[in-house]
Amino acid sequence: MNIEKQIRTIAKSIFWQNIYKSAKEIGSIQLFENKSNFSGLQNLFLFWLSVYESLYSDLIQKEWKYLDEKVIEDDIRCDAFLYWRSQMRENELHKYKTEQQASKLKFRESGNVSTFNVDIQ
Amino acid sequence: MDNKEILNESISELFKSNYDDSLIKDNKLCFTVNEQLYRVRMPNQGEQSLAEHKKNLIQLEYLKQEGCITKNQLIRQLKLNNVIDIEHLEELRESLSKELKRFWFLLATKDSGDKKKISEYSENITKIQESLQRLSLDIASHLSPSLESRLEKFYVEYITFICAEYHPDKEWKKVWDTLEDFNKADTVLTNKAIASMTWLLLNKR
Repeated sequence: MNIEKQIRTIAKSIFWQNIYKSAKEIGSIQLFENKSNFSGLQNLFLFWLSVYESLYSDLIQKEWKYLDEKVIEDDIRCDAFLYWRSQMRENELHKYKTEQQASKLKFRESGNVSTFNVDIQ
Repeated sequence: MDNKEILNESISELFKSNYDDSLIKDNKLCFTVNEQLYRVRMPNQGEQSLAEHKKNLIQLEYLKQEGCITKNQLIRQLKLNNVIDIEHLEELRESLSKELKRFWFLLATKDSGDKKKISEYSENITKIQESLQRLSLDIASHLSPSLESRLEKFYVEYITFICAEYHPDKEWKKVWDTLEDFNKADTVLTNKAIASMTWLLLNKR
């Protein structure tokens, strides 16, 4: 098993997910023996802990049609889902910004709907 | 199932899901060579500064050497002499990355029941990722004589020399006293130590 796969396996385990959740809630729980100067592997582990936390949270809330436990178990499908989710969120953000811009359209004169000022940010 | 059995099963389940956390439990990485236990540890701030300082000094030495070439100069030379077109390889890498994203998109929108398509797309993704890996290795090996690559190699080797330890009896001791000792040492050991250090420093450089 390669090192990154191993790190992901540990990070997605219920055991570590519970420790991570408790550490965030309580604050005084130490995840590692060292308190500072984290290694690259530890940083990678922290990254995957937070990614899998968000995936489990989305799974519980049934946020996405295509997310189930099998996706989380399979690293290739998980990578694919994470990319797709980021694209969906980007699209949502773009849509929101466009709507915000549209709502800033102001009519110059009341009753005259043919001309208006557009505030493009 | 009685209470004892339930408890035993729970404990074994706990251990199963705990996995091996030796990679992340601290900022060190252990490895063995010829049944001897070794480890590399994260350099502290002083050691990192020292390695940077040594790297700057060695840069001056490298610059004086005949044939010293920067990465950009080397890329131009490799193309001019029809050895390899690195820019073309970079473009290839870009197009493979786009292809990877296309398959990720297709795979992500498949229901878990659609095993045939999932397997087909997963295989394609694995092949693309392997091609990307080969391409990166190819680029890196062609650029290894460049000043930038040599300096990066020196830095990792120097940090490895400082931070590699072995465990002969009761406590951890430095493996090499001088950089010269490190350079003269068995390459099986130095290569393994450098590889472990590279993992330990992952994304930190």
